[in-house]
Amino acid sequence: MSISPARAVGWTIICSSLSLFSSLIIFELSITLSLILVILISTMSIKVITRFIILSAPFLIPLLLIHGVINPQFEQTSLFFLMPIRNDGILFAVSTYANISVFLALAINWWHVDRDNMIDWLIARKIPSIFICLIAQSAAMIPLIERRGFSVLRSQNARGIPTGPNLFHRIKAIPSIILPVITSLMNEADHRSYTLWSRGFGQSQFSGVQLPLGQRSDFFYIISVLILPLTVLHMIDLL
Amino acid sequence: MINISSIKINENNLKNINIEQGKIIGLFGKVNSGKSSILLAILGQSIKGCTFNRESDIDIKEIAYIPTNAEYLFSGIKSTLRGEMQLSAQFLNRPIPDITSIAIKFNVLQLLDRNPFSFSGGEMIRAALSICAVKNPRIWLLDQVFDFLHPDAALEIHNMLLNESQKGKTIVEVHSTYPSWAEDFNDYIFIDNIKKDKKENSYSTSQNINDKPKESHQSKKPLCILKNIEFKYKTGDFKLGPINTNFYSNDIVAIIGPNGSGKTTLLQCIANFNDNMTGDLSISGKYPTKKKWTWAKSAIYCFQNPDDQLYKSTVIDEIKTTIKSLGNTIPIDLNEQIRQFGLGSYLNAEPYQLARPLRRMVCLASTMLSGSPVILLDEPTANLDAEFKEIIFNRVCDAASKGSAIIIVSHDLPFISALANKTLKLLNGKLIN
Repeated sequence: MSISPARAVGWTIICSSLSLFSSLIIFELSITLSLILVILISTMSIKVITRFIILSAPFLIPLLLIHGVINPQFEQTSLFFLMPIRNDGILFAVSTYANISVFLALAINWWHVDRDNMIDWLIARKIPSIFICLIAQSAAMIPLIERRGFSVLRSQNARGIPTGPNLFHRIKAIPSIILPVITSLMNEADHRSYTLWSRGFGQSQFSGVQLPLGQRSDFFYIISVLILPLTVLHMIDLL
Repeated sequence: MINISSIKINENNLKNINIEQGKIIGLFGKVNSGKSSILLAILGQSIKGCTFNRESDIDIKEIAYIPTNAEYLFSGIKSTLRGEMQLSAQFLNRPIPDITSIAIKFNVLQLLDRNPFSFSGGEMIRAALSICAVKNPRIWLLDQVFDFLHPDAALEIHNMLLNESQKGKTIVEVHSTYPSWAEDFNDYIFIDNIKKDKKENSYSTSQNINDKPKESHQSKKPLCILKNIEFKYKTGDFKLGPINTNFYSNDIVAIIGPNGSGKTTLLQCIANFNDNMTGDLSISGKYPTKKKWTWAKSAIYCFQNPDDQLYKSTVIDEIKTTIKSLGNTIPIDLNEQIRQFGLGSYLNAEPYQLARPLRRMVCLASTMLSGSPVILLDEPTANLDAEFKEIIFNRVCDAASKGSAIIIVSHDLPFISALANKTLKLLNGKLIN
């Protein structure tokens, strides 16, 4: 299942615009919920809808519990088996959930955009190559980091550094995983800058931007810095 | 075409370098001599510790650069080799060339629709050449790319480059030891005191080769037993095994075979990395468990990439960490043992500040001083000069004489033929006698 880049961009613009202009909760709620439905149904894919439900469902119950039951800022309207029910809180929770969900729906939409199609689409629209690199390289680096993280984990296990079985060992192992990932990532970004630059990345005529000698690696450092938080999250997930 | 003058690397002045059209140039230097810096200078890039003046009448777009780790050439932006080749042309704002004819020329036709990150060593280099060929370069720069290749694959790639030179292209190959095709070079650049001497690849070590352990195993119990070991990756058709073999104490075993034959996969099976492995593996009567880190006490593995391992602030701490993690005591003469690995000047150095071959030596030292009974080394001599190769030769002999079994995957045939007392040859995942 692949979603066209044009559709993903279109939905992103619509959702962002509406979220900027809507202020009334009811209006926002109805708009966002219908948007989610339209986005998901337009994909015509069970896989996309299932993924959306799996990712968004865990947000709903805590939000309902916190605002619809616990949060004293909302007035109690009734009791349900000694549990206070706050209607405004429930509305607020559902509205917040809808806001989160619309961005999740968008994220899932982007998830299903074929990377190769996306790049071709951007190139065809004469987007400066430096921006294409920035967007695409950030996305492309995620699987690279994932692979690097796996290699580091395996390498540390291979020399006997335990990454389990309990939480204490996992926390203790974090420096041995995170530090090599970060340092090797910076090292790799440096080396990649020479090689990709020599391939023509960031120096095309239609970009109108040519990075001067000695500064092009900064470009890749920026990418690395952008994805460092993702690296940390992924490492925690790996452990 | 390109003249590099006033070269200064780490405060050392080097003589001028001239790159002329149509020549095949061999650039030689020891570990940490600045070979890669010079190659980057030819490309027009300056890195820390290296200054130079560069005069050139050709554009960067006419230079192809293949780094030691050819994987860095692949952006990952496109998911196939074909896509990456097209991307090169698009970013250079050129019409997309005939991808098929380039693929035929560099023998990558079957790789065009595969993900470049799944390629084996030889495939990766050929794919890198084909990506660079898209821009029809006048100069090819290759930074020690041959060391991870089977000699036949390395020669095949060198011959591809020879064809390019016959069309007036310039080839610059960087080496730390003499390749078998050294006679093909029209010009030689020696960065340091490496001599044009084919004896670079012979091992006249302090340890007599004839004294290496060649015991009869008839009276000994095997240390490591592999029985019907089989493994298949989740993707692709490659299948390893069934492998049946034993390793004994004092063994120095070389696993050889072409790129993609399963050498590293077999080594990783012995290291208990591959979850889907079937068959029986045991070392000293112990069997691997899901707690992979516990297996290092039985078999320790040294990876090709040192950067996956290093995280301590000094070389000595890095080595101590490995010994401690196996529950072994730190030897009193550890510093002396580290010095024997050629790292005497770097004991308190930050590992990440060292040159890549030295970082590799730190990893090799930490593996071989760990005290594990089975030591698994993946391409230990790649990118190292003759001096460091000799150090590894002596350290491996020493570890074997103390009772360890050393299993080495290597394409360095002169090295392993001088060192190993047993050779396993793999072809398409099967052991051949």
